[in-house]
Amino acid sequence: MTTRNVGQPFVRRDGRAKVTGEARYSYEVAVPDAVYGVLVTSGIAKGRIVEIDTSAAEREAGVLAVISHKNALRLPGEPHLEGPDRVVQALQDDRIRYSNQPIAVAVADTFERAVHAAMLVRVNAEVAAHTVRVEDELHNAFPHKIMAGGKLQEPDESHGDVAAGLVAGAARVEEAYETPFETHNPLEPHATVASWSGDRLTVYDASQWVFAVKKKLAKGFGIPPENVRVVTKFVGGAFGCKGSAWSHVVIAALAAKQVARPVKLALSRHQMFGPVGGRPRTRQKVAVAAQRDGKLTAIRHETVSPTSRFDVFVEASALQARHLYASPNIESRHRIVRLDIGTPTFMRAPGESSGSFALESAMDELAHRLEMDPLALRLASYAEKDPADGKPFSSKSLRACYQEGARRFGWEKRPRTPRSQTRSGQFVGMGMATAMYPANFAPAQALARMLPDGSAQVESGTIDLGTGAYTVFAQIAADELGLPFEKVRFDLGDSDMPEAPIAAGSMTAASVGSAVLVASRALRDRLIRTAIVDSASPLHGLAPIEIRAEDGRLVATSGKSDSYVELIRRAGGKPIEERGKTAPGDEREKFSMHGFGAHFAEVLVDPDLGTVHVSRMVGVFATGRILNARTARSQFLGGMVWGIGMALHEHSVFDEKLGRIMTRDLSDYHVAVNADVGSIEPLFLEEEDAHVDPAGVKGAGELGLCGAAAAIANAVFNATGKRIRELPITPDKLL
Amino acid sequence: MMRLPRFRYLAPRKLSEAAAALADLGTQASVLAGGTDLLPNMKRRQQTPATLVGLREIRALRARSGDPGSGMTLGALTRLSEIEHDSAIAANWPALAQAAASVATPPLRNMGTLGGNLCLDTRCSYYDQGPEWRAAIGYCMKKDGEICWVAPGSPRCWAVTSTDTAPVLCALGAEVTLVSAQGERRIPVEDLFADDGIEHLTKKPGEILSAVHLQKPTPDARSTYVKLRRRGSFDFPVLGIAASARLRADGTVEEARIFLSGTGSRPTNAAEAVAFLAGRKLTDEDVLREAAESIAHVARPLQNTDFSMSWRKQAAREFAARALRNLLP
Repeated sequence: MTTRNVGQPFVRRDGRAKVTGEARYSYEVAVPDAVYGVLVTSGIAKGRIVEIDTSAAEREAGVLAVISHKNALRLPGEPHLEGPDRVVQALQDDRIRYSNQPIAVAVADTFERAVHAAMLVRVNAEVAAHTVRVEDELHNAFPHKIMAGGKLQEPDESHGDVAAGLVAGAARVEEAYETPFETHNPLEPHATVASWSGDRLTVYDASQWVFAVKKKLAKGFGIPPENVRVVTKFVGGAFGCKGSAWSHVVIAALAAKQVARPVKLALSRHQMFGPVGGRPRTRQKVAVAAQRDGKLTAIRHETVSPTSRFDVFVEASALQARHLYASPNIESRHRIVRLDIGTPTFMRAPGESSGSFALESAMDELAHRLEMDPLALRLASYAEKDPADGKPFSSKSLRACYQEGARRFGWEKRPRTPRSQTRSGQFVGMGMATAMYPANFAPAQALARMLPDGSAQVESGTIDLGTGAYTVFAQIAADELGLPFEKVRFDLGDSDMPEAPIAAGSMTAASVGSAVLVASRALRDRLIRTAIVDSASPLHGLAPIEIRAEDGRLVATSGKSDSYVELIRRAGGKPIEERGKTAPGDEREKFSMHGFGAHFAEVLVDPDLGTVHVSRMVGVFATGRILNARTARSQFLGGMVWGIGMALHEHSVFDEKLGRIMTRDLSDYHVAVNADVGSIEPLFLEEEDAHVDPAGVKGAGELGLCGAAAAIANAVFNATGKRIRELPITPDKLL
Repeated sequence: MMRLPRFRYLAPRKLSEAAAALADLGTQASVLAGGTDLLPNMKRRQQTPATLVGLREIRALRARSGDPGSGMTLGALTRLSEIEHDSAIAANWPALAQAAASVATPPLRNMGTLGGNLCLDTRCSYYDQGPEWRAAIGYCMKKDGEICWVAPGSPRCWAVTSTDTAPVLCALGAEVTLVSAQGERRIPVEDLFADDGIEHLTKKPGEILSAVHLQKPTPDARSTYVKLRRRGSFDFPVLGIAASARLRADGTVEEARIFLSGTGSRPTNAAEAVAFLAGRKLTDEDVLREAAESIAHVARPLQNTDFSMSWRKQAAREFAARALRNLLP
């Protein structure tokens, strides 16, 4: 494969459309005769609806219906799937299970009238005692299998004798760490447009996985899956919360059926807090011990996170402890508790981001105790093989990431002791942490089609979350087909297209990229075969191995060539297409597959006020082949900035008495703004990985966040001598 | 969902017409300046005026007169971004430029006005919520309800002032003109505010804040505004400290004025610190620290303000010291 296009920093193909507003997000798709649905959500955390008075709303002009459990059509099926799906509340009963649960939908001819009608709905609820505090349910904590990397994993794993290993070390750290509830809050809120035609349903949804939405709706409404088409052309951020179809998706389809009009339904920003997931709070305990030379004698990582009463999500914070550092004794344990909250869900690097904060903070504490450089401690226990099962890594350039990162960052200038370096009255601190994220890969399909004009159309029903899918897959196809980038169009986001996996888990580039590669290669081979059997082709009679694709032509080693345009014209002038399909094979059994990286952060901490500014971050990542240097850089950049938000700001605050989240919008759910971000330098070291997947890609979406918050927390310790074990690191914790 | 309720909009071209309209409508009407505070509040149904009297067509409210040599009058509709970028203001009343520059974000400063920022509604976690949220807890006394969720036994509302320019204008001894159908009055900015989360302005419903008058700065005048917030931009103050002073060459304080934002329902006057400082040398670190301690003492933290009480006390002291140091040449 020649790589004239792959790796190039092409600008996003959809960039201009998005910036000019030409790109239509799901809610903006023009559907004739559409009406507007606005949700009424629960004001209490637990109870039963005794009475719901919709009469005032129904009397208003333009209101078509107010649908609640009292008059909602009974769904013939359960709208729930195996796998990463969530149990939904689609107005089927009177029970309130969490705050902000959808309990009714007002449908009107304009959005404003629907808003108005929703505000007129009066709910009389019988309030039941709720629990939203993890502490109150710890006695009922239980283990549950973990859905991660496309498979179920055991909650507990142990090898060696951790208790003995912890005692055997020259130094030991045993501490508790906490991360708070966080809410995804992509700029584009969840939105669904549902339109029925008889028993056929078309849905435009803000989704990371059109195929799951399709199957879920088909199941709920008792219709064949082929009757449902789901389209998602543009997504304004998702980060996991759009990975499963939540209640409002089913409600939009239900309302559309009931009023016999297409219904558009979007969540308000406030409705993003609760009914559509979030990262659950974690309470973690980490114990690590090492010999004087830094070799780890034991690692123990335990975590408890909450889920809802009616569904299970496990924040798999302790998974990476199984694979990250070499130690003869490693133990990891996951427990969950049930609370009266909406089900939490995957949020960028679920498990790895929250877990790396704890594990990588503990490693920093251990280094401090050993009076060792934190980087040297990590190198002392560098895992040459996966500690969990002894498998070799398909590729691992972590050592090079450490070295390059340390060099670029100037790690040798790190203050040896806390509070020893100041810059304009602020303490300077430097910290580092390791990043690791599994190289996930799931079955995917794609179609490649050569058109009579010699350009190619390639498609797969994947999603571009803002990641660059529209762009990078065209790059892969262009190289396989020997076409310039401009001659390949890649289309996505439609359940009528070849099936793709959920656009999550940093696996889209690997999975869909491989399918695109296989489909394009199949198409090229088909075109070669067409040429060699065509007596009018200059390539007639040659062996396929003598022919390559280049500049829109098939070129033989002898120099003879045939163009795609001529070839198709002679073959009847019809487009020629091939499908490609990939799936993980045995390599997954033979190798351990992960992307790795190293974060280095510098912070300035005000000694009097405790305010923290991240002045500099360098992240070096090695995650297989980079498809597009620009879009990959943006992903790492985004991950690192998110790390600043996670370390210093993000927190969905509960009022525990009310059982409700107090944070309600982006003015009080704080994420980092430009003024909070100093210099951010993401770099990547390219790897050739022959085992991971046909595209040689390990994924970039989540790796940049893993370890980022820990590097900042470690830098804060280096600056102040204060170890903050509970995120976010707010100034009050530092005084 | 964030949509405005129904309202009537009036767009008078003259201040007298606006005042007449307000006189007719009484408490049913609100004045609309830049709208960056009022309109979101209306979307959340925190304020539900039947009529908005828009001021934007009234040219006089954009006028500016005077100069640093004699004192300056800024029309109430002067945009925060104009103040932020005005070199005369930065040179003579630096605290005002600093405060304006620290409000929200550039787009909001392009819309937000000086008069509007002075009249900013008070804030509270139980009040700054959507209608559904407030309905679910039976509202609070600031709007539609009976009790205070911050201090359930309290007879008063504890919502907090969050304006950045108000403490500065108090510290600068500025004045405002209030115009109504009955005429106009000019009062110190300090007297514009009352210590109540609901009735936080002494401005009567029929009155329009038309102008802000800045005193001529003396050659030895210095001023500063420091704002503590959770992140670098786009945030209300956790604590804002405005200080102005006249200093002799040897650092002796002739006169000082210090006001705080984010600590109570009105800008808090650090009167004790001011009295202590008079005649003392700010260059003396002990004096400075004792004054800072005194300022921190009035930065009384409440449950509805950000961060823990102990942090606020400690941070207020250090932050006050920083503000005072800013006054030194």
